[in-house]
Amino acid sequence: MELNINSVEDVTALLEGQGYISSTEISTIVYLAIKMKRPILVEGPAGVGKTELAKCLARSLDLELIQLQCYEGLDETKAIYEWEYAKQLLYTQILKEKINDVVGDAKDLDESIERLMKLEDAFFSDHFLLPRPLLKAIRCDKIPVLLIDEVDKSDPEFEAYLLEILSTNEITIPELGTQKAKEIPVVFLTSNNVRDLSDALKRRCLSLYVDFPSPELETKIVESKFPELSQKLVKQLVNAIHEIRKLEIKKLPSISETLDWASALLTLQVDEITPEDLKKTLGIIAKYKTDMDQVLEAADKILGDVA
Amino acid sequence: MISMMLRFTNYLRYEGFSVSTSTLNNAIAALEWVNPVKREQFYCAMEACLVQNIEEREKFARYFKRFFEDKTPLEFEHEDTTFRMQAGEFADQLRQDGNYVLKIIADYLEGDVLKLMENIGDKVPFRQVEIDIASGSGMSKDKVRKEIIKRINLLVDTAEDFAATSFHMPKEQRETLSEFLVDRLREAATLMKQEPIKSHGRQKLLPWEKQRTISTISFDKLTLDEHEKVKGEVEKIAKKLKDALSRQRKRSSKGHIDIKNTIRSSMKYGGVPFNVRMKTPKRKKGKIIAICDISMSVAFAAQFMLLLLYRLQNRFSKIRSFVFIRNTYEISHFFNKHPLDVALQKAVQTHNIGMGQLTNYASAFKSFLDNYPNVINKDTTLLIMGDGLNNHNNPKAEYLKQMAEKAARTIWLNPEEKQYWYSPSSAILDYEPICTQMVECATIDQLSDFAKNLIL
Repeated sequence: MELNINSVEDVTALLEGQGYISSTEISTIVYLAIKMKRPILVEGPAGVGKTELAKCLARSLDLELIQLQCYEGLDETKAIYEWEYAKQLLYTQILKEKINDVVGDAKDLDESIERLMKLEDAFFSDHFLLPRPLLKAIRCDKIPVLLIDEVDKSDPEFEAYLLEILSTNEITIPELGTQKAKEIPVVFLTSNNVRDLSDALKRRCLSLYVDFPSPELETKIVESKFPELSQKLVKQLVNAIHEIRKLEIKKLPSISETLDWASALLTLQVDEITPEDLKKTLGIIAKYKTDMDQVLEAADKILGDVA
Repeated sequence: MISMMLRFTNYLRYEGFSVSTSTLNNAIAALEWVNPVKREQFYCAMEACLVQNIEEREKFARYFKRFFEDKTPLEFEHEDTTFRMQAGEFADQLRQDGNYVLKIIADYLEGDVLKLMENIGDKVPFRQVEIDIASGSGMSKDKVRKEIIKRINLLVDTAEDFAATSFHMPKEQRETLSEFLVDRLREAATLMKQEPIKSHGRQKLLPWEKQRTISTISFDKLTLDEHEKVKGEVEKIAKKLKDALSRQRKRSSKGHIDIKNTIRSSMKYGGVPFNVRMKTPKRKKGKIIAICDISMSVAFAAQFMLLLLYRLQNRFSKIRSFVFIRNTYEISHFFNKHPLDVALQKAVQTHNIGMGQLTNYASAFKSFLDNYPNVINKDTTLLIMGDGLNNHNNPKAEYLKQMAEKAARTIWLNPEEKQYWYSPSSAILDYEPICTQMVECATIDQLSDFAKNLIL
């Protein structure tokens, strides 16, 4: 099955349809990933819309989104598949009564074992397999969007599992053999650069770095999400955020903070941001006490240029 | 287009990019889907396929521009055969001169930008050109560069004459040819002007330093360029140590069996303990007090150690850092307020520490005891970074002894090579017996070993 996307502009339009204002870079790389059937490694600061990109693409194409949230200690039983031991045990208990029917007339122990071995496959079949996100994505009948979120938080060993899946679109289950993807998923891996990913993994992906947006793009984003806000206020808000990003603070406000701030200002029915408004809503844009102090100190500069 | 891609990747490799064959294949495959005429899309596609490290993006943008935009041979392709033949003839005339510079310019006119760039690149500047022009004349590289620009400018007149006398072409085409040749030549001249040789501190390595690798060079012998690289290495070490820590934690969590939890989880398996639960051992986190000499001889080593410590700060319950030359000052608050790099700069710049003065360890330790009497306790690992050069002052080892007695352990990191530790002006002989450990920490390898021992 092929997705009905024929140009970079198609991707931009699809994403815009979901309220995701995309740059040429983002659209081009998403388009290439779909056409070349390659995973995308999306890197960038927290809150710039890395995860949202995958979600919006899935929504716009009406594809199933399968998400795997990575964390330290994530292993194949949580990411790929797991045998349902409890179910196997339950079935064993139920069938215990019937065991005599199978081995009752066996001549000796060898024959009994031979007969039991023939039944072994029944316990290691799809019926007892619990597919986790990666196997689910491989088994999907329709192309899914697979989002492997914050891959940098997983252990380096986990990357080795990913390599097989990303390069061959296959998963090997020793008891069942190799499972080949029915439809190759559109894969997004996101990373906040907590640790360096291996070159082997990077080589298999198209790299996309999503940085803080330019003032023009950020204005467009705010306007599309909050059409009720006046142009003047949007301009002041975006300018303020860009001024704050110039400060030497620990956590720079990202797009999600810009949108939260816009939402707060809308709720408070603010027409023009005053130092008092900034103080009231400071917790939305600055996350550390020292950052808050710095933002307040520079309030005049931050709110200064209102055209 | 494929041959253009091959040349571009060769050029990237030449400039130090790591471009594997599979990456190149990716880039070529991407060409099927993007239109190279749409420059932004083409650029994004190439960047996505060829750049694997965020840090390389800026460099890539520069090289891409230089290769694909400064060259601009595309309009050449749109012209007809007569035009191309005439331009080719002019190029041939230049080649016949036999001069290497003119050959390069001729190739450039026909679209081969690589040779010109090789000659203006940082790594093999001027190569044959230099030999050609400067042989026997003793000209400097700068003069050679100026000479080439002068020759290109002279060629502008020649090109205009050539185009004006190509009478078998219509007037309009003659003008276009003249414009084309002049534009290309001016571009070449601009390229030559754009690329001054970069200055990175100490440029020439001494003969015995040629095989050097950053990891084994003493901090005080690093060139300016290498300092930046070492910072990058320190970041990598921190990441590796964090990975090692996480592996160690996973292993160590398989300690004692947790009977209660095991029984509880076995209930769903009819009492069969399929999942044996283990107790997670409590993580012991120590407190670190780092006291660093930041006089000129030790400043860089101290910077790298602090950088590494703060990158690993999750491993410790608390880190407090102090610096001294004659008196000790706390600089931890800079690290709370600013990102690490900025904090390090501010810590050194804004304190009235007395840069340029001679170090006095005794007065520094005394001022630490006077001003911060309750900072050290029994959970503290006291790290002292210094070369021990006390400039013939009385070492007054009792101050250090008082500090060491309060701490769980005292580790002295000496950025001097061990053979120089016991010079007459050094107080190391007095301080060494007080410390739990005194380790040489002159290179990035040694710093890495120390950090490993400290946290693992």
